Amino acid sequence: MLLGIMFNSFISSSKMTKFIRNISLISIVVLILYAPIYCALAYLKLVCPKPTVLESPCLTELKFNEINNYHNIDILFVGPSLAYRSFDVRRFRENGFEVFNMGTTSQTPVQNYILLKHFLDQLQPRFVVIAVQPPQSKPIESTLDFICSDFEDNKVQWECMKLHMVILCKSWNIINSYIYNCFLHYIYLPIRSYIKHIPLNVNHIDGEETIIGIDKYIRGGYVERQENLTCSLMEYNSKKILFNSMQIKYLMRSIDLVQSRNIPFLLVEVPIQTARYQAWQNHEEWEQLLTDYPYVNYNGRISLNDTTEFYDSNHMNKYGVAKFDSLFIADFKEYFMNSFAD
Amino acid sequence: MIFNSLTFLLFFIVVFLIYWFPLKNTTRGQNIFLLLASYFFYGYADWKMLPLLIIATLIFYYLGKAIAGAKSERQGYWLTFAGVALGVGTLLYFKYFNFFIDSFASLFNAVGLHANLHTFNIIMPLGISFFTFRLLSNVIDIYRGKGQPTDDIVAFGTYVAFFPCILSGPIDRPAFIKQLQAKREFNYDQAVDGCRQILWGLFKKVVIADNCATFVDKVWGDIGGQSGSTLLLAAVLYLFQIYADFSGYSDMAIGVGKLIGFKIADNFKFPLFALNIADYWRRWHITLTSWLTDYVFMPLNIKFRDWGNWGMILSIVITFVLIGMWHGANWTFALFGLYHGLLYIPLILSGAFFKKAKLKTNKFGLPVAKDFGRMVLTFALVVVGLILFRADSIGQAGEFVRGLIDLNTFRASYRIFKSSSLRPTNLYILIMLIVEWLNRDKQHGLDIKNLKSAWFRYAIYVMIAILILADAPRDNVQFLYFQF
Repeated sequence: MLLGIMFNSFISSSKMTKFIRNISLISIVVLILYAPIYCALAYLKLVCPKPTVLESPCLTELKFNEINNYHNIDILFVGPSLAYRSFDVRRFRENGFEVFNMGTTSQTPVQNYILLKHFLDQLQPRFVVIAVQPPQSKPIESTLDFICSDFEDNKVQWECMKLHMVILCKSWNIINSYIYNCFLHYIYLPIRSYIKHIPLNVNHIDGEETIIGIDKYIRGGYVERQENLTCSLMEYNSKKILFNSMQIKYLMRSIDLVQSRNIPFLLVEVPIQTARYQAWQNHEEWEQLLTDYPYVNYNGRISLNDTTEFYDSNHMNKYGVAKFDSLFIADFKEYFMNSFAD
Repeated sequence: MIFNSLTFLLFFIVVFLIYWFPLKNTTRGQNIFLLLASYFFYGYADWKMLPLLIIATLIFYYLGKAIAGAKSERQGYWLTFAGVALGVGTLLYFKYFNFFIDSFASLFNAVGLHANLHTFNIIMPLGISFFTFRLLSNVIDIYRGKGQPTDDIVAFGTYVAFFPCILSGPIDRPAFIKQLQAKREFNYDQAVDGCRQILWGLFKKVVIADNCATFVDKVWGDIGGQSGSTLLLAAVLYLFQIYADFSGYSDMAIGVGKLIGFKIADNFKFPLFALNIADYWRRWHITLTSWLTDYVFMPLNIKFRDWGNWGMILSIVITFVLIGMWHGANWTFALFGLYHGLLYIPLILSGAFFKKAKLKTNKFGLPVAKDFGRMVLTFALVVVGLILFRADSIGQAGEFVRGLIDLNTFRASYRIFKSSSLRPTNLYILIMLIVEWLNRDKQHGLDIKNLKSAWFRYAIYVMIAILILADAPRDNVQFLYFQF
């Protein structure tokens, strides 16, 4: 009845009809023209999208442009930079394990899930190690990392994955960045390549390693910092961790996904600087969430020097990694190797 | 629920449709609906203080009736005094209680006495300044005989809680109640103009104010590490930030009011083109300045009239200190007000204060050299005052000023200028200035109804809408004046 009253009122007022029609038309025109005009504004630097493919550090590109070379591996690592900067694939190979480190910058459980869903069947790992940390933030930084990366193969599937991440971010800025990066990937760079007769620059690794800025990318996905290898001690204010419920949900989904494939897994909390770790007031709440799962926290389990074995508060340098990997591999051989999936 | 959010858009679409469709033939129905919508809006922002708003509305409604029905002048006077004391007292408690406790404690400590004074965790209700002023002007106007109390409690409640204005003004006077009691018809031209004004307000807030804030906050976060030129740029950009933020909000509030058939008082009249400080305050936060002029300055001026110009100066200085302190519980705000009050002295003594500043333009439509100079001088004076306004403490303001007059003031800070977020912001500020200059005689910057080409008008609307969507720097940044 309310709708009937509204409809009668609607059709009886021509001015209102005209008003709503004009507003709707302008809105539709804005939606249609938004993407091309936004790309023009961004190209002319009249708006500032987040990092683009032109500024990408390329580490994620290198990783996923070589992933198709990996099948039936022993261990798959996933997680944020704590994963790809802490598990040195060379050491695992020396110990007879074929591994791939699928960690990417600021990768959150949202990206863990999306990547595992896509790559588990191809990689067919016998074991999965998920580097975890109390999830506090939205999946924005990692989404941007993927948005501005250009992958050689399976472009349609990659675009679907990127779009999935963009939608989960629920951020208009990220949508803008996605639009602009699509323009760069599919319109600007190909046209530029054609006009200037230069090949499209897709990053992939040729040998065993390649230097990117102050990092060295090792085939298999490990990244090692080359400069500024020490870290000064800082003070941190004690703070309570505020968990991001969406990330917790996706962590559980990742675990369910791995379990559904009958693949054994381990949740690992990689060591960070002591002062930073001790600043978290309620770490026990986080550990409580994981009690039903195989979980190891290496903070406190390994003695590392906060200044000489870390290059920043979150990441071990190559000396710290060497020490950590030795312990981890020893633990892995002793406790987890028997549970390898067939 | 801020105006530039999806939540508000959805809220307002529902309000608009119900208001103009099933309720369009019943004014009382519309008012009841507006009242409920306004309480919902306020409760969404601050539900714990909603009872305070409702109780204050009821008290002042019946107080207004009691004042009008007072048996004697003395009784009316004391009832009004009680109302003013209650309103001002509530404001003082929520805004300034902890400030005074801290100040007394610091004073005692400075003289070697250690007072064990405790501050409380007092949370200031959102919009308290704005709705308190509405309530106060109602009782004072009734006492002065300038208005009659309304019998329509719904209209009164809606006037106090009117959702476009409750959080950051404009501060309408009780005459607004007449609009609530009159029948409202959908006016196409008014609605379209409302949409234009909302668009312009959004542009200023999202594209200019929020982007300026990114740079300004960074600089203020590390004053010692900046060159003098960077500090100068931050000081200038802060004026644009605060103008774009607050006038943008006011434009949106007025535009929303137009969409539901109301004329809300103007709050800004292009103050960046002011010719002197008096002209500036006649154009900036007009409703607050006029409120304090009517209820503070005029009574003081009458009281001190025997002192001639110095009496007027004293009245103005007191009024401006109150304007400063209205903004918050910090000595910086008091000093800000004092600074602006003192700037009136040369104007009053020279007689310029009593003449209305009239802008002269040359054949190109630009201000003549003398007026341009006056505009730049006024701009500079306001920028200096805003250093006090922005600073967290007098010490921080002093640090900023010392950094400004550093010998390296004119060393360009390349890192700042290279910042990709600043270049387009400067361009948009220029666009804002040009558009507002061209429309300085209109009600708002995007009042382009007289543009002949409809296609050109629509193209402008589409571009501005795209810029707003394109340049959203952060998700739902608060409006600056919400904290006041």
